[in-house]
Amino acid sequence: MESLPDDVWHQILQIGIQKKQLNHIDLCSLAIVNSHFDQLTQDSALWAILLSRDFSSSFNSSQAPNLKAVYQVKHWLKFKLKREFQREKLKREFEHARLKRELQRQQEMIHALSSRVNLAEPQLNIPDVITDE
Amino acid sequence: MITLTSSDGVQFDVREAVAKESQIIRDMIQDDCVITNIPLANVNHKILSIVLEYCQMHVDKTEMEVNASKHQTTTGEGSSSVPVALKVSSNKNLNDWDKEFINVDLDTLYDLILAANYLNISGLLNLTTQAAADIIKGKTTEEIRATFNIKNDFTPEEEAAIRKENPWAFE
Repeated sequence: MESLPDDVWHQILQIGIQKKQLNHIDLCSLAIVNSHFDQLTQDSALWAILLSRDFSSSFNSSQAPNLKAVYQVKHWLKFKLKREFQREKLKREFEHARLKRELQRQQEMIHALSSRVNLAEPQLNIPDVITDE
Repeated sequence: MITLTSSDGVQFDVREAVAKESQIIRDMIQDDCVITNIPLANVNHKILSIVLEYCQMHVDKTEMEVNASKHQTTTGEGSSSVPVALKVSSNKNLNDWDKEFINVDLDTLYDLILAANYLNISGLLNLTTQAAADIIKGKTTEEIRATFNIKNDFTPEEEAAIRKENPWAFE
């Protein structure tokens, strides 16, 4: 299979990416196979399709020589943003739970105080109407 | 009828429409209309018979669809539902047929890709290259090397460096 002409290999990788069979992980696994595949998978035309497919960014592969590196940076940023978003979400969830516990504690306190007031009220013997002397 | 001769001398008589699925044969016929025998130096009889099976099926199905749409126009709008259903089912059948057709061993797939590329049969080239991409999909570096019998020409140091450059391979 390796002896297929380069343009045929290019077509295999291109159609694979277009039909969503292959992704950036597959291209990286191929790059490590040997030096020939490393060179085949560096092709910016392939990464241009992946960039438009995965990030909706359009690049002209003839103008940008190393779109694999561009993809790598975009992927890293997306990963970082996702991690930050998740961290922020966790923080908020934690704060929400803390406030909820606090609210419950306060409600219980009010409840306890009001039952003490109810108990004390009859003993005070407060007249219903306080008349002015 | 046109006679196609394989690299190992076997002759295949096919209808012109079937031979014309190949762009290079189409070009030859257009250039010189008296051509009746075409030698194909790069395709042996085993592969050529498989390629012609594909072309025959696709020509037949296309002709069936054309007939169905003719039927649709002559019978008028009232009864158009029947040919449309026929067309949909024939498309579905052709996809199923393609899937079954491309279920071959790796050596045959390799020869079919080369033949489709040489004869320039775009449908067959798409089908075979997609099948190759399907084989690569989701495989680790080691699995790809083993499947396609590819020799690793990196030194251990070079391989360590290239693995570092391609961290996604291990996500």
